[in-house]
Amino acid sequence: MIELLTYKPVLIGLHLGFAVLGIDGFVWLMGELLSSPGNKVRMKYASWIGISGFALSWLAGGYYYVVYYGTLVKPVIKSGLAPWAHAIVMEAKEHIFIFILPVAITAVLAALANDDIRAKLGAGKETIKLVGLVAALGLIIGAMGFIISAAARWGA
Amino acid sequence: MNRIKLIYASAWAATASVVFVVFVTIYGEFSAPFKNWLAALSGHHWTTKSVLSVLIYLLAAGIIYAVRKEVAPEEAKRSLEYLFWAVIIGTLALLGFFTAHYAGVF
Repeated sequence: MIELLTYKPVLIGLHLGFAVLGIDGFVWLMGELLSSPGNKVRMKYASWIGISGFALSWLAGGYYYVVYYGTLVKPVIKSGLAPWAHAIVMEAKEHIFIFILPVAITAVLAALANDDIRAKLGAGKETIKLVGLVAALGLIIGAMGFIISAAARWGA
Repeated sequence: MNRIKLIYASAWAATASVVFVVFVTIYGEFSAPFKNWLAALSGHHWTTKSVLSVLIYLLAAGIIYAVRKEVAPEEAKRSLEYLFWAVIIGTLALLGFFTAHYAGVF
């Protein structure tokens, strides 16, 4: 099982698949928040899917990056047609990904507060903006991943 | 558990985590010994940054939650706004830095 999970194409698939779940969870949560008051049960499902998705994507992508990327992919990109894909896109992506989870957890804490707390807090707009930002960051990171994969293919 | 205080503590802790990642990443590009030290801690600089960012988030959230006796809703609301801008500025700072670094500006 471990051997299958650490197989390179499987790792990339898990990294991407979990990230898509994370993005979907936060887009769903944003939709629930916009349709105020939103369905609390669905908001909990959306939040768990979102946070679990980003956490698991981080683990799968991190393992791939640390074990395989530096030795197998990075040299191909750096000697290929688009070395900037590593120097700019990958360098930025790998670090932006690190701070997604704390931001996502904070957004969920604000989104899942009960109605009394949310009314007292009066931060409906700020919460929606933060939830949307997490989803947007996930999408931007996905686009960056596409550029990196494409650069690796061009460099082959 | 005081939810407003928890949101406030989490927002500031996440902001601290963003600032930490941006600072450590950029500083590491200028200081090879520092980047090597990060790598030596866990075997890879990225793993060390990841673990430390989580620790900073958890520790900062715990400390802020314990230290602050009362948090006004307006303060918690502002902390969410600050976090929003910290993420945008942090993202642009990393992208801008690596672009300038690649172009040979730094």
